[in-house]
Order: sequence, then C-alpha cells, then structure tokens
Amino acid sequence: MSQTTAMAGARGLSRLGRLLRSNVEGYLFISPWLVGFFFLELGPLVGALALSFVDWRFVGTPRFVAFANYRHMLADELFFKSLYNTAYYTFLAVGLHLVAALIAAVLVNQKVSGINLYRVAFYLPSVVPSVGMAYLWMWIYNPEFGLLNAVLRPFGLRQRWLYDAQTAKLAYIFMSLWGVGGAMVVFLAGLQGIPDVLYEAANIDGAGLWHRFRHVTIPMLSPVIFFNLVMGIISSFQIFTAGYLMTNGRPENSTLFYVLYLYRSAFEDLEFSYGAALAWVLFLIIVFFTFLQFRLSGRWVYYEDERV
Amino acid sequence: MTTQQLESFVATEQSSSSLSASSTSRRRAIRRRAYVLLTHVYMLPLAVVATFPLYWLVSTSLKFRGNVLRFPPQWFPNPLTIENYQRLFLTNPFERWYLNSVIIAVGATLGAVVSAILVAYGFARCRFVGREFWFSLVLATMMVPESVLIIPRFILMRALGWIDTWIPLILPAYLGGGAFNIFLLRQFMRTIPYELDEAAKIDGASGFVILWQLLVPNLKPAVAVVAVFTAIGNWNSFMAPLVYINTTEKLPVAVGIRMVLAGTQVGPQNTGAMMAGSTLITLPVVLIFAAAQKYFMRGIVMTGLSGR
Repeated sequence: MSQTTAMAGARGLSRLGRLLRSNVEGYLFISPWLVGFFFLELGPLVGALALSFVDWRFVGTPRFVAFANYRHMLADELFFKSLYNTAYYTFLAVGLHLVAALIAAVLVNQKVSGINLYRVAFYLPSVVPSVGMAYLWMWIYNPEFGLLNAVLRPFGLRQRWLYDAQTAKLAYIFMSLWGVGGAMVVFLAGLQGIPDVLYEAANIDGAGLWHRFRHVTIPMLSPVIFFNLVMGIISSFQIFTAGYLMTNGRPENSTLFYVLYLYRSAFEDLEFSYGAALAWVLFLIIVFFTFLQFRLSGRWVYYEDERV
Repeated sequence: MTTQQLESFVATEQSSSSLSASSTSRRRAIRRRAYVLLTHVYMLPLAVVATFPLYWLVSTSLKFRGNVLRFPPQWFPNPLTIENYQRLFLTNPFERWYLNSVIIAVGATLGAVVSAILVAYGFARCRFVGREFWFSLVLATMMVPESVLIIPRFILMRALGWIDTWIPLILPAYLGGGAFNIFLLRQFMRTIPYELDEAAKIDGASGFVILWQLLVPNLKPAVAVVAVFTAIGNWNSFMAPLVYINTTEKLPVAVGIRMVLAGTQVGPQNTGAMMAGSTLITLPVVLIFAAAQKYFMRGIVMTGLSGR
C-alpha cells in the first residue's frame, strides 16, 4: 500500500520534473524570437505610441503634449492628401490585381503544350526588385523618350504620366499590375487543388462555362482570394520604395503616399514625434482593415476543411 | 475552363449522339488541335507584352548614349555596347555596393535560417506554458509593417551606436528569423511524425540532437524556401538601409543605385547607366529564381495558402 503511494509520488515528481524540463527547453528554443519580439516589435510599437504624445525633434528633452500631435494631424492638409492618395492607390491596385491574377491563373491553367513558358513569362516580372522596377518604369513613362508614349503615339494617346497629377497615381497602379505573377501562381495552385468531380457534377447539372466559374471556381478559391485581399491591402498601403524613387510626392503632392509622408516627417523634417503619431495611425488603419476583413470573411469565404 | 474539363464536356455531349466511334475521335482530335492553336494565338502576344519591359530594361542598357534618347525609340540596340556598364562602374562605387548587398544578404539569411529553425522547433515540438499565446503573437507581428516601427527602431539603434553600420540590417535576422519563416517551418515540422522524436528521446537524445539530426534533414525543401525568400527580401530591402546607413561606401546596391542619377529627376542623360544598374540588381534574383524554381514556386504557393 505505502509502497504504491511512494511509487506514485515518485512518478508524480518525475512528471513534474519532465514538465519543468520541457518548459525550460521550450522557452530556450523560442528565446531568440522573444528577445526580438520585445526589443524590435513590441518595444518600438509602445515606444512609437509614447513618442506620439510628446514633442521631440531629435534634440533636447521630450515634452509631454498629450494629443497635440494628433490634433495637428487633423489640421494637416498633407496628412489627408497622403491618406487619400494611398487609399486611392490601394483600392484600385488591389482590386485590379485580384482580377488580373485570377484571369492570368485561369489562362495558364490550360493543359496545352508549352504552357510552362507562359507561366514563366507572366511570373518573371514579379521577381524584379522594386528598385529596379521603379527605375525601369520611370524610363518607360518618360514623356519624351519613353516606351509607353512610343507605343501610344499612333493612337494619339501620349500623356505626361508621372509628370501629370491627373495620371501619376494611375501610372503607379498600372506598374503594380506588371507584378501580378506572384498572386497568379498562388491562384494557379488553388485552381489545381479544385477536384475535377465538382466540375463534372456541374456539367451534369447543365452549368455553362460562366456558371462553373461563378459557382465552382470562385467559391473554391475564396480562401485564397481572401488571403490575397488582406495581404494586398496591407502591403499596398505601405507603398514607399517606388514612390520615394520615382516621383517623391510630385507633382502637386499627387503621389505623396502615406509612408512617404511618414518618412519625410521623421527623417527629413526630423519631426520624430509627429512621425510616430503618423505611424500609430497607420498601425490602427491596418488593424482595422485586418479585423474588418476577418469579420466579413465568414459571409463569403468558403473553407473546405472547416472543423471546429 | 481547362482542356480536360472541356474535353469531358464535349465527350458527354458526343456520347449521346449516334456518330461512329472513329469519326468522333477524329473530330475530337481536330477540335483539340484548334483549341491548342487558338490558345497560343492569344497567349503569345500576352506573354510578349508581359516580358517586353524586361527586354526594354536590358536592351536600353546595351545602347549607346545617343541611341537611348531617341523618339521613336530604337527597338533593337544597334550597335550593341557595354559602354553603360563601364560608365556605371567608373563613376560609382558600384562593385562596392554590390558586395555590401551580398554580405548583408548572406549574413542575414544565415541568421534567419538558423534562428527560425530553433524557434519553430520550440513551437512545434516543445510543450510549455503559454505556447499558443506566444505563437499567436508571432502571427500578429506579420501584420505590423516595418514603417510603423522604423522611428523607435532608429532611436534604439542610435542609442546603441549602431547607426551607419550593418548591424541593424543583419542582427534582427538572428532574433527569430521573421514571423513568416517561423510559421512556415513550424507547419512543416508538424507534418513529420512525432513517433520519430519519441524514439530518439527514449534513446536519450536531447532536443538539439533531435532537431539537427532528425528534423532538419527532412526539412530541406522548407529551409530552402526560407533561405531563398529571406535572401531576396534582404537584397531588395530599401527603407531600412536608407534610414540606417549614411556613408556612400557602406550602402547596399538597392539604395546606392540612386546616386547614378545624382540629382537629375528622371535623368534621361544617365538612363543607360541606370538601366545597366537595374539590370545588375535584377540579375541575381532571376538567377536564384531559375536555380531554385521548384522551391520558389512551392514557397509562393505556401505563402498564399498559409492564410487558410
């Protein structure tokens, strides 16, 4: 009797020891990430919030100003301008991106010899580094010697593209469509994952090409479409490299994108606390969109392997 | 939609007709050939349009200065010249920038791979208190953009005396290796049967031994994806080096290349050299893509599907 309790006790102790060991081991393994998380993610995020409530221009002692930076923002024309520019770019670019990627994926999903060549052709542009892409398109958009105007000249459609406030943002959107290959490959994988049985069943029901696309392809792809939508909005909202290199906000601030304005405020005007306030507003915008999309996704995203 | 579906559609229709078998199959073969031909008829022009900007990048870099600025443009560089490349290297420390980028990308990639493997192992295989909590934070950090954190990070790096060094560009990779990489490797580790670990544990193997000798050899494709994506991400990285590095000789090529234009806004005078530089920035990415195409595609697919 007492022997069995002692044994159970020893087993309990060894279980406790194992538990402790596995906890220590677990935290040891994730410790690099923990350090990075506190010093490079959470710390800066909280730091930016703190900074946004003080007045600090890189020199001197920070002075607490409560919401002054945010109030300043509400009176700042450039803030609203940059927000508008970025939203305009994001919604058009992401929307067109999804449509173009889907069409491209359907096209390269055909079982025709040599289709791989087309896949590579559509995909290749998306691996071009954004810096190279910016300079290449600056050259293509050049009003005097550019490729685009050379192509459009016979149709009398020459434009000043990046030099014209009317067309500058559209030029950015068109450029971003060139990199549609990444999303295309994702959609292609999604298409290939749709079981043929579903199409056969739709055939038996007499569904035409469009109906099969609308009622089989789209619902089956909806998780992938949804993911690309979320990531597309988040990444498009942060457009910076191209904007910084190609027009730097010109002309008439028509291409002053949000992150560009943030960068300029902090690292050119040295308004660090105002920049931090802009950063937090950007953070809240992204949280809002992510949240909104996840809330809405239940209504239209179809998850095949739903298990809860 | 796809050929196969189209064919099965055609087949179901034809099986109900009373045509003889041989004429049916002949008709089907003709239809099939017409379909393939038609596909190439519209795919070929689309592929040419998609890749033409890339051709334009390389061909401009091979034109004489006087032939670059011509309208209508010279469609094929005649005569071919490497003058632009010579000028690029003569007037800029281009080889220095290029080497800097290689060092930074290799250093950061090494760190990201090693540290992401360790952290992923912790999340995939160790049982510890708060594991799900920390892992949800890993996923949450994917939503926080660099631009939100860059100001406090800059202040931190400055306080540490690391401005104008490569430390802020390389060190963070060693602290977790990036949320996405952790996520990806964890998912992969979970597909490897746990029984293998258990058996090794009974033989007295520690977590480290299990990880390096048992799991990593089975993870090669996933590790390749992480390495390729991290290397390319670092090669393309723009905002961080722009903020942290001041000295021209220390710049990575993505930021240094700006100086080729030196002041001129769209700088047609130096377009040839700029295209030469952009070609050289793009080249390694395309080469990596070609060499690791299999892993690359898998990586994109996983990126896209990870939202499920």
